Amino acid sequence: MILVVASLTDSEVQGLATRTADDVVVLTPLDLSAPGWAATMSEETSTFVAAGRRHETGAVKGVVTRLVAIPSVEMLVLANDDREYAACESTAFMAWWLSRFSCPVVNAPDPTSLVGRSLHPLHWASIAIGLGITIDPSMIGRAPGLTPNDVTWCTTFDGEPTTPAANEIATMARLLAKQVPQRLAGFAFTKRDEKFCGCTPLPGLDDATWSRVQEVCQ
Amino acid sequence: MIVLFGTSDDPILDTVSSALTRRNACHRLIDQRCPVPALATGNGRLSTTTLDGQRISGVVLRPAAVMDVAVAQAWDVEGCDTQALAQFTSEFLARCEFEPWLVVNRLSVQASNLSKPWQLDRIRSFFDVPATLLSTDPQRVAAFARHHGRTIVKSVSAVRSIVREVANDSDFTNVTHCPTLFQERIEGADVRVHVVGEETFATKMTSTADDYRYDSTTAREPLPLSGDVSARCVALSKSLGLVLSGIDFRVTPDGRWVCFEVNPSPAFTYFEPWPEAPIADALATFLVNSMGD
Repeated sequence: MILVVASLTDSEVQGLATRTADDVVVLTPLDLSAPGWAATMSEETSTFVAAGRRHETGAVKGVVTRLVAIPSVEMLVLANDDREYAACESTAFMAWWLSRFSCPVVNAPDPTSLVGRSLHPLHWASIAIGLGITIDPSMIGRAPGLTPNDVTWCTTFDGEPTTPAANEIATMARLLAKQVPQRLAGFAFTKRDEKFCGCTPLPGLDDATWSRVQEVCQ
Repeated sequence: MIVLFGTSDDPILDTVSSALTRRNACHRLIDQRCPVPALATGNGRLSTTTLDGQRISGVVLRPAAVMDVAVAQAWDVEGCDTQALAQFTSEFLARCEFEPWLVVNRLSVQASNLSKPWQLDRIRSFFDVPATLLSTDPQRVAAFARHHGRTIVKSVSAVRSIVREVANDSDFTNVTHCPTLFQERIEGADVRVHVVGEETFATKMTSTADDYRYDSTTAREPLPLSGDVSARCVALSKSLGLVLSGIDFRVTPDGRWVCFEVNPSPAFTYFEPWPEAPIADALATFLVNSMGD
């Protein structure tokens, strides 16, 4: 089983099951409000709920996380006043629970985020400059923000671009990918002059990227 | 130059400031309650690595939530002052992550206690931890409570909660709503150990409450630490990347040190109610020593 942790509204995840031969099970925030979760500090395996059914962690070959945190608006079983607290508690729980898998977890969590730590743009700017990569001034607030049409993305998995990219961009993405804890990352560059302008630990899951993720989950 | 970042009514910053003053150490408070122009310009001129023209060597971080500052200062929460403080705070904290300053403690390393079980997993390499169950399964919780005899419930996240004991025959139906953390209740004496670099300071608390923090009659006294426990505390603190930490223990009648959590931004003044303020002094010394690096 490949376990995908995702929002109820993640449109990219809807089609994954049809794009893969493996058994893909999607765990959404709704599953965190269902009886069946049990995990202890001393036992390596635990039981969990995904797609409304109870499972054993031993059956999971790989995990793909598509959420930075559990969104309170998706704790739909709970009263409005309880959702914020429950989402905070569920996020803290998932940060630990996802860290316990011995199989690949893409991307691995830490206490700051279910997909690992993200850096502030100022921090990224400092790293990029240290690597000799030119940054777009919008990154440090010295120019107006960019629109999605101004930007091209390069997704990397284990440091290598998963999709075709211009040589210059692929080279910069490889250098930048070495600076992040995530196996899967997306790097943004301006279309106009190929300047670095951002990074995400949650890039799109196109076919080529999803194939690489499946390979490591075999 | 050592920067103290937070608000001027923070007793921790006040104590550290006094300790730095006793050492004639150059330091300055960046008070989040001042409007940002007063923080960032004029006498408080902050460039990449200097403040008031002095090179920054160390920072003590006690940032207040920007919205709390705005409300306390009666600023419009969507107004210019609030937005400017939010941006200034965000950028200063970001800079603390990568500038070559001694930061007590960087937010990225303070994060370990955002998830108690995540932190407990790391603590297990150094100390015993209580048997712990996280569950939405009423039957599993009831079995855990029966097995351990006495059980407590607490928050999973860093949201402050009052630790409380739950009766074995409680109705656990509501645990289905979200994963809830249960632990065996450990009998013994509450001890807080503060680690400053390589130094440790232990305080023993005596209280009849489940959670001594909410008992106004809690008695506090210094406790000598064995070399072994002290060394493990230092090693644990270092493993989490912390320069300053407050480690919570219960010491059982048979001498077992059971660790509950590590506080990465401890309000240590509560635990040193003596005029000498040894923890603040040790922190000031640590910061001053970093100035020569």
